[in-house]
Amino acid sequence: MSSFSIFIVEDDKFYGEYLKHYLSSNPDYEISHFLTGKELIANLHKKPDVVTLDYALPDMNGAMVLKKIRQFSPESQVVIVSGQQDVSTALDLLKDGAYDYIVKEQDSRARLWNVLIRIRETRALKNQVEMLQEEVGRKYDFEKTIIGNSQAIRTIYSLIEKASNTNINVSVTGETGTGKEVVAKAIHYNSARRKKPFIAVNMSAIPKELLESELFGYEKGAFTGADTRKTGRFEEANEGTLFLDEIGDMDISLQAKLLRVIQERELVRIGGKETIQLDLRLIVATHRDLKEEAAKGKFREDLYYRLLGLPVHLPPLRERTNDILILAKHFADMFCKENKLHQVVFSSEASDKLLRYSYPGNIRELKAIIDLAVVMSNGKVLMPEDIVYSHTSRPSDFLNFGEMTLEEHKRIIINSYLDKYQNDIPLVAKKLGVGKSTLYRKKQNDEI
Amino acid sequence: MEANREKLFDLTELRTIAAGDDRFFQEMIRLFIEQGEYALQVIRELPGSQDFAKVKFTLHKMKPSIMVLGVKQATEIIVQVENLTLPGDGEEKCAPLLANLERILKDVTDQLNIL
Repeated sequence: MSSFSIFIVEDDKFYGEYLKHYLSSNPDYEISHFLTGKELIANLHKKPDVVTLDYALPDMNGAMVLKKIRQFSPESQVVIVSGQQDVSTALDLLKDGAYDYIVKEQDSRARLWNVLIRIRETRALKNQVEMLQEEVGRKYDFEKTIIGNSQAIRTIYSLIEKASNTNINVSVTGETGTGKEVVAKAIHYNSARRKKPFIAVNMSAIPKELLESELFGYEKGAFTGADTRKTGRFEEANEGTLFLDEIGDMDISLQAKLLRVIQERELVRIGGKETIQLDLRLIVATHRDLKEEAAKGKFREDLYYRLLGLPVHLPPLRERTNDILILAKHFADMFCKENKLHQVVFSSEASDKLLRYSYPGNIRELKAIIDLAVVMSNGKVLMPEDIVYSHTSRPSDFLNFGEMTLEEHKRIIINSYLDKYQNDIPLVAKKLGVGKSTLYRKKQNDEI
Repeated sequence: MEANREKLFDLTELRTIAAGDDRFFQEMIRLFIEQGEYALQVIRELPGSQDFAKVKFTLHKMKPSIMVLGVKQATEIIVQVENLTLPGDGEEKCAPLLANLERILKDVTDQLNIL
């Protein structure tokens, strides 16, 4: 750990030196001792990590000194070390921002030692969180995560930048696998809300009967099985961003409740009475045409207009063929790095094969193809035979994919049916003769 | 002799903190003596000054260092003085307490001086 600066403010020279010498036994601590409030204030520009402060100083009382510390060095933690045993004085100082209050007694030096350890650990955790937040922000620098050179992608960069600079809701449309969640995260992590939560909810992965409680939360006893209070996703996303994926799959009765929450910017948990104010950005995504769904009466028109915000349409990969090879290279490089493999290059025949395919699964499918191709290749050059396409309606074609596990075969079959029946899980479950909950579980675990 | 001296005070805590640093140990003894002599002066000036607030404040400030040096009898007396209404009803009880404290502090500083 780096050094930790401690200012001791104590007019009793004996006690001040006693504390200073004791704390100096930790080589990471840099300690200074001041005898008056004025001396301390003159040194606050040094921004100590901690100030241990005696309440009764000759020139000013501890409350006044605390106020000055909060004003000029707000990051410094203040620990009052005082002979005063008055509880109300201690409470007032704690309310005014003191970290702790230690009475000068037999065990006070040990207590101070433990408090300093706690402060230091908390500070280290806070620094780590800030560092990780910066790292996530860098990771979601949109030109690094949304790869491409096409005009369509450049337009998307521009829209993401505009969205990030404001609080406007965003509606992201596009076929499955076009990167709707990537765009949502890029907007969030490049916005003023980046240090706040990003909460993603896939509406089609949650059974309809559980969706309301998942989104809005519930109070203890609200229904059978509600053994404790649970905060919903709206609350979890407060001050941050809520991403509702596959919003087109939302039941029309729940759409009315969602509309109210968006309009009023508040909600009440199921079974609750307390109104909870909300401050969040909403990003929704769908592969459906919501305007068309509204015309058919399957989606509320008023909700559609509320959610529209800044529309971002992600074109299918087949409409941005310029980007296919750029993406393929990016995925190959990423896979090789993650798996500590030598970098690979594409033969011209492999590149041609990649460009001829339609990618119904879009970027997600391309990534899966490239990952598999790198695994299947026998050298540093990817050949056309390494590139295997999973989208086919002929069962016999599955056998041409090379050896795969039974689970990999199942995934391919289920995905092809979901593509065919527009992600209608109950229908696909019926067609395949499996339970709906099985498919919901696989979707929630990203197995399909 | 060592045992007799240390009936009034206990240097264990100070020696623990000093951890072999004799320069620090001697400096702390010097500071305590300085503080003790100042307290004695304030107590002796009280009949003339009648400044009870100053006496209370001085003793209150000395309490932590007296605890560090384990001068238990002095700690108990200071707590009693702090709880007296001064000036006022407590004045009658104050004089013998301060007389006792004066004697203890003088003995302690004298003995520390010859360490």
